[in-house]
Amino acid sequence: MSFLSKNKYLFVCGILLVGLIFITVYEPAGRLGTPGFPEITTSERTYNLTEYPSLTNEIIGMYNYFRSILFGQGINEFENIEPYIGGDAMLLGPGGDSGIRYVLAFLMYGMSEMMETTPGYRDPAYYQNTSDCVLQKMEAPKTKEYWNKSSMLYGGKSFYQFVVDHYGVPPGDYEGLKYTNIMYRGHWALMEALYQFLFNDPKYNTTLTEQLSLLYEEMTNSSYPTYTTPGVPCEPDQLFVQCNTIQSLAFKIYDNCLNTSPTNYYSAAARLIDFELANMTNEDGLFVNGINVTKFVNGEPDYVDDFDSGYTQGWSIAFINAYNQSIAQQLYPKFKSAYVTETVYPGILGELAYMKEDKNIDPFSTNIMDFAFSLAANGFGVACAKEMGDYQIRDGILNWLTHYFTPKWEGNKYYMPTPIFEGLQFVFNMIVYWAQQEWVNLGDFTQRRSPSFWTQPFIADVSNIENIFINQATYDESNSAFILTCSAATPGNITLTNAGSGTVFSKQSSGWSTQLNGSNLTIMLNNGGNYNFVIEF
Amino acid sequence: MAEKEARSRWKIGKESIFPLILGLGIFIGLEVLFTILNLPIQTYYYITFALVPAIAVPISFGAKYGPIVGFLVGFGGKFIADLILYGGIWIWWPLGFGLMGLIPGLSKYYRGKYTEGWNLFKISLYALAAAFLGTLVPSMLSVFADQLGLFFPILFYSIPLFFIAALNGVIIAPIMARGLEYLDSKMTLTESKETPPRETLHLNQAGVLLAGFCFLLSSGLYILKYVFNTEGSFMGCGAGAPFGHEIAGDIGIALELGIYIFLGIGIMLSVGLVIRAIFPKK
Repeated sequence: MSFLSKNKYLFVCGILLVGLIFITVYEPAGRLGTPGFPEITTSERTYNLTEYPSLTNEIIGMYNYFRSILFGQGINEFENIEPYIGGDAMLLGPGGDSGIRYVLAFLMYGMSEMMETTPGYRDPAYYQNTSDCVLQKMEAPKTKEYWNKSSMLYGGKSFYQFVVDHYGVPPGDYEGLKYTNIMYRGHWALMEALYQFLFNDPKYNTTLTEQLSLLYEEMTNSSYPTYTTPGVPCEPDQLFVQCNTIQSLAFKIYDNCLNTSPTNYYSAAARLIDFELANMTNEDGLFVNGINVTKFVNGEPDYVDDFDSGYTQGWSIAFINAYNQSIAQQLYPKFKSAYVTETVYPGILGELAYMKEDKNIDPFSTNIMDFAFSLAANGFGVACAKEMGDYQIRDGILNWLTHYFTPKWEGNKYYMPTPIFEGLQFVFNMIVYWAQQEWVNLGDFTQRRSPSFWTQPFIADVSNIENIFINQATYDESNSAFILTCSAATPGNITLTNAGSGTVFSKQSSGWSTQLNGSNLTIMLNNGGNYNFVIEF
Repeated sequence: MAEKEARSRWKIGKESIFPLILGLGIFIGLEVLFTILNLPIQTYYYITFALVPAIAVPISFGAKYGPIVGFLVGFGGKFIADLILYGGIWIWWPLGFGLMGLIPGLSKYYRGKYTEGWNLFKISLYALAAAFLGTLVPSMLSVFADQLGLFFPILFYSIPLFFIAALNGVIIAPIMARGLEYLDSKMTLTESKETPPRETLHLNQAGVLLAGFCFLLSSGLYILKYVFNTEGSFMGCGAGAPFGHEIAGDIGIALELGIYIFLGIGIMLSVGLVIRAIFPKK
């Protein structure tokens, strides 16, 4: 007894300790946990659901977070999408713009991978409308206005005016959709290609085909007004490897999966990458950040602007891996060796990986901008590691990148608030969202779907898309079975079409029932909860 | 009156062996246990909260047994724990934990010192200084070791670890030091001459014990519930709603109810005890 009674302070410490425990262990209110993926045995065979692509509830929740922001405003509005600092748009450089196109494009790439993880979930209200919305925002005036507005590094001229004056092209291309400006055109084309790949909807086919044709011309036809090299410049006489990986992937997707008559746009990309490896690499065999194309056209073909850049490597290798895996696999180890540091901060972060923007950076740098650029490099680095399937590096970067930002559920939305960098919250979550998807990478979009894909059974309607999360939705062609796992916060219905002859098996013996209506099979979830189904045909 | 004979704190002898082994054992045990438990690290704005009680071990041992024992407990404990947990040695961080043990050891000590509230409060102040230096020094050294520039180790190691070390040190180290004093007074190896209390406290002893027991039980249940928090399971019962946790069925409900009940009793008792302490019966 005397042990405690002597010290009030001890008592205070005890109360504080309890408070510390509660603050530490407390988690904000969450949704249901991600369902398990068990084995389901039918009369025919046993299905191990862990072998089928799946989404966690956190990934779905992050997607809902993006949707809520995208649909919460008009097409030409970008509140909480456009990066900002101190209430003003965060500019990419003096006189530059905020790079909304990049935010939309990289969001689309991450979202497309998520959508392809559950290819049997085709309620247009959930996936297709969102992709369409992102594309519409990509085409919105505010996204494209930088071309005729920005005066970055071009003596007060806009990009548009510079192109007109420098290349002598006819005026009128105020949005930069015909000449140079690969920093917009490449992303736009790839986004349209992904949209058509995912939804078999030709809505953007005309502009996609037109844009790819223009880009192909600009890369291969030496009489094209802005032809300088086998690549397309952007700023507008700087040629960047990373920016040119985007239309290269779009070419590959179009040639392999979308065209109705044979095309070989990709040949331009193959020629370009040979050029880049020959002319745009440094002593490590890795890419330099960018070259001024006038060096080539003015008779200095050996000149390379040796601008060292980790983000260039991360971005470039991530996308090259999708259309030329062997080159990406040669570059990636060199990239890791030159730019990535793996270390351990025992006790707090544990194992971590850190990417330098400049591999020759002063190791004891006290320049905050070196650190800021390296943060950007890590954003691309984590995506690159994910695309390359290097989960050790990916997790090592995510480990510290997410350290300060405790994620939270807000209704059906899941995200990491970033109070320190409020204006970068959308971008930050977008990076984490993309990096965490393991089942699909960009290269999967270059594989043509089977001819029967669009007539297979699929989910055509979910009665409550906000509260019924579809974690698995895949048609197993070899076993003629549809794999469905969902996490329902509320009761509701899931309707499959082309599914009239289906027999439903589930891990859960109660809480659901089925109804057949012609070729539609409706699974009625009578209670909230997690469900696993196999529907055999 | 307490016998305040300041002894040389820089000497170690046979009598230091047992505290050293005890300290190392407690440090390694706590560090390994809590790393395996993998309790979340919560960050609210810039302040990082995490339960890392091992940090308090070198601080309290340093305060009680001197700077050398404190340093060795922190340095050796972290060294061995890293070896067990990560299979490697990162010398700067054991050094930092060693410093955390060394700094409180710089204060004078006399037997029974940490039976007094004011001295326990001073441990908290030393813990604050120890947390600051013990995290800053290894972070700065790691700038040279890892060569990641200045900002990365400061932002992602020094600052979060400082808050964690400060919170755990300030709160837990006095409790541990008091426990060590108690242990010392009960040990047959050393003579127990615990100093008498200097002030009369108006706390009901049984009440304090009961409240403490309730808090501890509630905390224990909370940790247990976290361990039981099974991914993929769902508790479709309103009992889980206030915290919104997903826990495994009936066990989860029982644990959750237990947490609330014991927490409630503990808070009520504490409030009563504080009121009684402020307004004692004549």
